[in-house]
Amino acid sequence: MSDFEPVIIGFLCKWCASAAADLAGTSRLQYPANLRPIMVNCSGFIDTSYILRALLEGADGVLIGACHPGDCHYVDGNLKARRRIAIIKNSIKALSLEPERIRFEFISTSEGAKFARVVREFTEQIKALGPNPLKRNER
Amino acid sequence: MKGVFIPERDPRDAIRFVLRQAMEKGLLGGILGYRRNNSGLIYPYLFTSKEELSQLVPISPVISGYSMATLSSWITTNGYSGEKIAVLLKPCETRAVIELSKFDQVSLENLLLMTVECLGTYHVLDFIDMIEGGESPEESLLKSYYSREDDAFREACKICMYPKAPYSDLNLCFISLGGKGLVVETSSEKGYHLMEKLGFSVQELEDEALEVIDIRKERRKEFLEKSRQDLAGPEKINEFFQDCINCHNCMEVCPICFCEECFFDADRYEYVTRRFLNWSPKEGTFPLPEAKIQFHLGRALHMSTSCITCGLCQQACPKQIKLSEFFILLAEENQALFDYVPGRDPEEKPPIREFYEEELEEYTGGT
Repeated sequence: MSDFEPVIIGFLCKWCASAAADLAGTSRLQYPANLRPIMVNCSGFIDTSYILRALLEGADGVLIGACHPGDCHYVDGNLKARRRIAIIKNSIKALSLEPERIRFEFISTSEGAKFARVVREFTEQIKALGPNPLKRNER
Repeated sequence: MKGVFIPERDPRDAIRFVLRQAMEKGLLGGILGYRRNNSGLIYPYLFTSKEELSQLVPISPVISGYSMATLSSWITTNGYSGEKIAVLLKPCETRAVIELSKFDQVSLENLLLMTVECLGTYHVLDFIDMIEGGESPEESLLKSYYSREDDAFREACKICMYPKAPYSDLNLCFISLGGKGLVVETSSEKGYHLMEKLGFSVQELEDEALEVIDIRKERRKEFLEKSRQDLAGPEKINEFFQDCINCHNCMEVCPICFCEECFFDADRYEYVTRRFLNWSPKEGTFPLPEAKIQFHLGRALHMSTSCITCGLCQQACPKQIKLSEFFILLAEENQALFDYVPGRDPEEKPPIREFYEEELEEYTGGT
């Protein structure tokens, strides 16, 4: 299990978490390369079926990076996202699947260090969980 | 509870009587209900004259295909028509209408919601069997209502907690009267005014709860427990949906699924052969390009907070998949999360349309 390298899809808001990833890069902060970042215009744009599809088609974990409450560039996209995350995590739990594979974080532009920490933590967590039993694709 | 008591008459005659009066006085432009054809089959019909009302089936033993909520949505999508239309609904359909109105799919302004008290309906196939066997489904339905026997009804009906709609303009109650009379409960201003205009005097009446609720609470608990076991983990979920042929009937008849074009109908699932070779042994059946769980769970994630657990998805399934187990489980869990009851109040916002800065902390961060 030790050589298991998880695939983590990151849906990162353009206005915060994505910029935080850039900041982590320019600050030379190290974090695992397991994350495959996807920049989205707003976390409110992320439909629950995108997360589900990522998990079905090969991802071991999904990270969603959103602006802190009150900071959303589009007023309340991040709060909508949080409701949706709550619904998907709750449903997945009801079906005895693993809600821990989805992680929702508020990361502002200036929090490059937090971004790196979150990716490190999450990668460790997914490594401990092992490969995602739901995925139907082998890479 | 305020209402009008119409004594002695058979409830079906009483409902027809009220509707005929309303049409005579020009208070209604149409009535959406069920009509029986010559072979005994029952199908939805928009009644426009009082002469046709003799063919009306006021207490329908079946929901045939689309729910009345979907039909109500179709006839009101372009807003105010000038004509008031009464709709005879089952409590689940009324709740669906309320939910659709929250998503601007139904204009309640034009509609008069008349909810017929209900302990369940037959599966459409059982209904056809009954007719072919020479039995009258309507009479059998009323007989089982009066004796509180619900064994023959659809699975979703047997665990339904709403014999009466929590919100409706008029609630037509007759079960506790055992076939002698009808109580028209005026639950809203609109319903009250209609009954006043018809010349009935609205009085304070005694509220009677049906005794089936306690039994059903127990049954519902057992049902949810069973669903949870049947759907525990990836293998069991795969097995559960093994028979699915992706016809999307369940989505088509779902009263809550109102999107013009479904997210899952789009052609975005095209893969190379190798993928299918990979999937086949894993799924134990022909692997559909769009994973079955992607469609069913994805759809549930979109609509489960408003799911009124009518079970029409299961009735429409050509493969008899026990879809109500899946949807009722997720509806129960997700509605409990937001303390939300669909169809309770038209003013209440659905969970996916309302959000606060401080909430759901347990879903943020490393949990």
